[in-house]
Amino acid sequence: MADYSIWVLEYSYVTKYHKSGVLYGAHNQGYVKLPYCYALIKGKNHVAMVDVGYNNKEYGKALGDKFGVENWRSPKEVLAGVGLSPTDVDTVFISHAHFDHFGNVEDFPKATFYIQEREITKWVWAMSLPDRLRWMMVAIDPGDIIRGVDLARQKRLVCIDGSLENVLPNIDLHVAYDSHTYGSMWVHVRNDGKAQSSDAWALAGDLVYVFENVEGPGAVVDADQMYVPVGLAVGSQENLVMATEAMMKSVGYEARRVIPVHEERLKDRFPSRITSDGLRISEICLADGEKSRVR
Amino acid sequence: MPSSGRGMLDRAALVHRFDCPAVAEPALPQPDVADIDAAAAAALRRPYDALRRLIGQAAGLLVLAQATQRREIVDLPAVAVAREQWREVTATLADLSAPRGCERQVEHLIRAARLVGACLDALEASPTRERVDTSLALDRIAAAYRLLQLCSIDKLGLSMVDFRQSCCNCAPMTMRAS
Repeated sequence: MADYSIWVLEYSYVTKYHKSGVLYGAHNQGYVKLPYCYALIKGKNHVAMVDVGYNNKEYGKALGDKFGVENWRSPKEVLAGVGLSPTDVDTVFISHAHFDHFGNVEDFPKATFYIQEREITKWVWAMSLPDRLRWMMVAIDPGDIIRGVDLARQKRLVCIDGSLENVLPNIDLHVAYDSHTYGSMWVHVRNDGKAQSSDAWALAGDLVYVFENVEGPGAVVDADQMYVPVGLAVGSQENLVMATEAMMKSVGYEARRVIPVHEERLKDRFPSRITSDGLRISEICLADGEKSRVR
Repeated sequence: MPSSGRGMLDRAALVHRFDCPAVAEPALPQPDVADIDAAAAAALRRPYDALRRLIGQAAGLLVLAQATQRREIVDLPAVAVAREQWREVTATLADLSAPRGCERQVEHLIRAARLVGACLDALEASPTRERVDTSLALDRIAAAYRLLQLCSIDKLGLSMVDFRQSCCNCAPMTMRAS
């Protein structure tokens, strides 16, 4: 029995991203394709998303010119690939406040958004610091925070403090303080409805970028594998590794159940297809009675 | 003018104040950056960055105040810090001579600073009220953001998002490599 379907939907990508950005210490090891994606969860009369991407109107030119980000498509176009529209989305979990995750709230007019309170409080603090400490305040658009105020006024923004069970039936939110960001969040879907689930999925946000963050080479410590954190953290690598352990524990240490949304090789583990726009849809799991969107 | 037309204009003036973001302002013409030396660019960038961050701080406080309805949010030391930084940026702008071709940008920065000040005024007044009402402060800060957005000059580093350490920051490296 499975209550929820989960898809990872690509909305843009960078073809050559330095590997050390996704994998701590992977210097001079070349480049990987970095897809930009969000996750969609459908079931129990809900349509939920993990993150909403960024708004091309605001950032598209800068990202294209400076960083080679290509082929951005709107949520309307991307969600159409699984037969949905942004107005179907009732819940959004914001894994963290970076512009490419929290930068497009206006396209989801009926959704209630969940974000960690600490993600906001610490960004406020970081933005108050002098220039020499500005490394800690990057990738945040004040405009996204302003749109957050408007959401809060409409009672569509919920600031949570710590973990929260059953935010939707059998879906839990977990926090990883001071890791990739100050209040990064991951989403735990217990698809069999049990507290100790044997069919659970962890949607990792940016706590995990690629498979090697969970199944990295362990030869250096005489192990088959070990966790290797992502390359970008305003918190600590220790907290990233411990968040990985928490996610792995929540899925019974089955690495394929920790879903990284910047991973191009999801196609090697899950059924997928490329849409007419040249973007990938990966089908992580299907609820009972739900039809495949990739076959 | 027929009275109905005048009435419409009067209503428009009442609904859309001078600082209303709904009153669209045209984007400023981009100055020729070749005419701007490094020192002048840095002088412009300093208040721009300060305002960008102040807008982020104020908006973050507004999110917390509105979402949690905890009045102590607006009494946090962060509000006092923001006020001090606002004084500094206001003083910097008063002394700033606009680089050639950037006069309108500096005008916009000064207007944005005034609006940030008005937002902080509204925030500081909130503890005296029963409920935290962010509407006035939100109007001000959204207008300040819009003005700052209009005077962004990407080539001089006047950009609303600092991408330098963000997860997309890769093309400069790939360009060197290819």
